[in-house]
Formats: sequence, structure tokens, C-alpha cells
Amino acid sequence: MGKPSQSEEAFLAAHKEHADGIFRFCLSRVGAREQALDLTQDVFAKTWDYVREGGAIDSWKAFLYRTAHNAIIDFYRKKKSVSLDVLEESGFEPSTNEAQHTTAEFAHIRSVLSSLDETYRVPLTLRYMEGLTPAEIARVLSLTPNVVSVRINRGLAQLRTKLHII
Amino acid sequence: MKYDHTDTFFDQARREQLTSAEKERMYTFLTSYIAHKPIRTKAIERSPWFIGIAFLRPLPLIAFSLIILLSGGTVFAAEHALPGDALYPIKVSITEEVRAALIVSSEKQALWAVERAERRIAEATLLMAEDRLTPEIRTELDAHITAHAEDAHRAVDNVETTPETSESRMADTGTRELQAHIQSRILAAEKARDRIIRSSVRLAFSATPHAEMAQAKASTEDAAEVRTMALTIEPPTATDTAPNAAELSTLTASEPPREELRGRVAGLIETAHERSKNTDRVVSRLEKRLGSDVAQSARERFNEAERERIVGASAFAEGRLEEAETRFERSLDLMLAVQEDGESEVSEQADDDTLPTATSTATTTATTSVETHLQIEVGIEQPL
Repeated sequence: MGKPSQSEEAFLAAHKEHADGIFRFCLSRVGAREQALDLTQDVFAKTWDYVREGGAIDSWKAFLYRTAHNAIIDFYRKKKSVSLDVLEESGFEPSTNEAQHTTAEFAHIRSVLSSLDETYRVPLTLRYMEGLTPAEIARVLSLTPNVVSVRINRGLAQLRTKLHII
Repeated sequence: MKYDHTDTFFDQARREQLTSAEKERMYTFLTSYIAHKPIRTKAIERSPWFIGIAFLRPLPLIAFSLIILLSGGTVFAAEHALPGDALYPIKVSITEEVRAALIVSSEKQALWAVERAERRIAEATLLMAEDRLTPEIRTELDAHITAHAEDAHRAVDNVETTPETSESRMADTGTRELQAHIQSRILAAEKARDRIIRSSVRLAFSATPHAEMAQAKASTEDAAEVRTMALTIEPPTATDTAPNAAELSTLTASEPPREELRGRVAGLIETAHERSKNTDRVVSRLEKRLGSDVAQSARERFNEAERERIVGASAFAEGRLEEAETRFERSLDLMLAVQEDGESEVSEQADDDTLPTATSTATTTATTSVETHLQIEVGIEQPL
């Protein structure tokens, strides 16, 4: 291998910058840390597949979140065919070796987040946890910026109620 | 925990991150992933001879090629040249390229590209039978076969797009049959190529020459089945080739067994690399055409195969040869399965075309929420 090409560097830099965000985004939607890890890795692998086919990416952030969004949808599509039987046998048990990461606090945050409607939760986390602009979120979710803003506001209202903030 | 503002809530939430070990692991995976799947470049460069001719396009090209074609003797003799022969470049870079350039219809282009791939396989088979298939020639033939198969794929795809809107429904079934026919030939050619590479590499390192010879012979027979060989092949008899293999075994017997394994795995790496490219193409085509669960599951299995391949490569680099071997074997099997499924899926789809398109449009519209998505998907599965 020669020295890394421009797109390789850009790709690895994007990984450095956005891996945490993508991971959190996946985690907020699939729940289990290990699955979120797998998904994150897949997202970056898929993104590279796109780059190497000559695909141009003008905003890594938007592209990565969009890929993640699609990967999560795929994940749920695939999941329903396997998981029920497994769950019945083993019982639902959150992965155990999360020890120091899943402090009670993160668990609390996650449970609050997951109690929000999915419609609001996704734009909301993208906006405030990951710092995407409404326009970027609109691209990720294939919505108009207006719809995104409305959902963010409604989501905030819902979150305030859950957190008992007046 | 109490939050007085949603901002503090999100500040807390943002602290959940990958551990540095997790990040490191993923980074390592990705660097080896991109090293194994580099940015795509054209697999084979056109010969300088042909580039020279191509500048004369288009009328003078035809005139020039006619002169060459009519000049008879050399060209005719070149038709039977093998790699390494003096006339071989004329055969591959001039007569065949000229013929390719003169073909107008996509169907004929596809057929010609397949035939060229099959010619290269026939040559490889012949050389292997004569024990003249050096690694250099193998690599070159391999690149040619891959390039021709790619050309054929592209031409087939073109065939498909043209008659779509026209009123000629009648002609449509004929086109489909032709496409299926060409595609099965491409796949057969690609499989034969993989087997040739694999057995020739194994042959070179083999400690048990007789078993390997049998395998190599099996693969030459496979290749012979590929059909319409431009050359007639005399299948090698066991007695012809056994002495060579025996020599080989005396050479390699003194080597430590470790080296054999290393050689075998090296061959697997090469094969897996090639097959990965092909499988990737098959899956991409599936996705273009179906866009459904089938394509998706193919992609997933392919990704798994890729992961095995990459992990195998790092195992190889770190000297864990046994692990590398099993991983590569598994990856190869997976990819082969994906290719075979993909091929049968495509031909099934040719029979019944309306169903998958309905599925794919329904699935693409449902992107906003997972729940609605699931409902839609369940909804369309029932009535069929």
C-alpha cells in the first residue's frame, strides 16, 4: 500500500470526528451497546463502499447520519424475523458487560429518550445531541426543514413534560 | 437525576461515547477494510497498440482494421497463439479489439466479451495442462478475464435498458432469455477462472501432488464445460502431468510444512480478492434490479464474507495461518453462495417481474419511521 489517498484520509478523518455521534445515534435507536457498535462499523464500511465506487460526498456528517438512519431501518427489518424466538428462550436481558459505561444515569437518559415518540425522538437527538442543523436533519430523514423544526419543537415540549420541567 | 433544563439533559446524554478501545478497534478494522477495498480503477489498461489505433476513429479505424483483417496470414496465425508466444499480443490487442470495436449492438458486444473471457480461460487451461502457466501469465489472464466479464456485464445492462419503453413486448422475452444466457456464461467463466487460479496456486505449493492434480484436472474439465472454446483442448492425461507434479513434490518436500500452508493461504487471499470483486458486482446488480430484501440479504452476507476475508488477512499478516485459512475458506464459500443465489434470483425475476418492483417502491417510500415501515412491509407480504 502506498501512502493514503485523499479520499482515504478524508474518510478516516470523518471516522475520527463522527464515530461517537453515529454510535450514540445508533444506540439511541437500538438500545443495546453491542448492536450499536456493529451498526456503527457497518455505517462506515458502507460509506467507504460508496466512496470507492466514485461517489462524491459533500457533507460527511449528513451522509453518515443518513447512512446510519437507513442502516437502523434495515436492522429493524431484519430483526423481527429472528429475535422473538431467541427472546422467548433467553428472556430479555440487556447486555451485561457494559459495566462502567451504562451508569444508572445513562440508563435513565436512555429510558427518558425512548419514552418519546420515535417521530420526535430522532430529530430531537440529531438536533441537540449531535448538533445537526434542521436543514441537515431534513436531508437525513428525507423531510422538509419545516417539518423537522415542527417535530423538534413538539419533541422538546414532550421531553419537558417527561422531565417535569415547566 | 433532576434536570432543570433540556440542555443539561442533552449535555449529559452527549457524554455517552465509544471507549477508546472500541474506537481503536473500529479504526483498525476500517483501515484494513479500505486497504482491501481500494478506490476502483480500471482493471486492465488498453494496450498502447490499440490506443494508437483508437485515435484514428471512426472511419479510418474501419479502413485500417479492414487492411489488417484482410492481410490474412499474420492475423490468422495469431488466432491460435498462446500467452508467451510472439503473436499473442496481436491476437489479443489487435484482432480481438478490432472486432470488439466493430460491433454495434449491445447484445453482440456482450456475447463477444463473454467469448473473449472464455478464450482466456481456454488458454489458461491449456497452459496449465502443459505446466506453462506461470504466475505472471496467470495474473495477466486473470485481469483479462475480469475485464471482459465486466465489459459483458455492462453490455448486458445496456441491452436491458433499451427495449424497456418500446412497444415490442414480443421481443422482450427473447431479450430476457438472451440476457439470462449471457449472464450464466459470464458466471460460469468467472467460476472457472476462480477454480483455475485456486488450483494452479495450490499446485505450485502442494505436498500431495496427486490429489491436487486431480483437482486441477477437475477444474480444467469445468472450464471445458464453459463452452464454445475458440481452441480445441486436449485434456491432460494423468500420466502426462504426473512427472511434473512429482518433481514439484520433491522440491517442496524439503521445505517445512509451514511454507506449504503459507503458500496455500496466499493463493486463497488472491482468489478471495478476485471473488470479492465479482461478488460485489453481482450484489450491486441485484440491488439495482431488485432493491428488495433479497438484495439486502445478499449484501449482508457479502459483508460478512468481507469481514471474514479481512480478519483472515490480518490473521495471515500476524502468522496465524490456520485461522487465516479457515476464514478465507469460509469467506469464499459465503461469496460463492451469494453469487449463486443472486444468479438464480435474477433468472427468477425474469419470469415474474411485477412483484419485486411493487415491493421496492413500497419500501423506499417508507423512510420516516421504523414503525410505519414495519407496518407497510408486513402489509405487502400478506396478500401475495
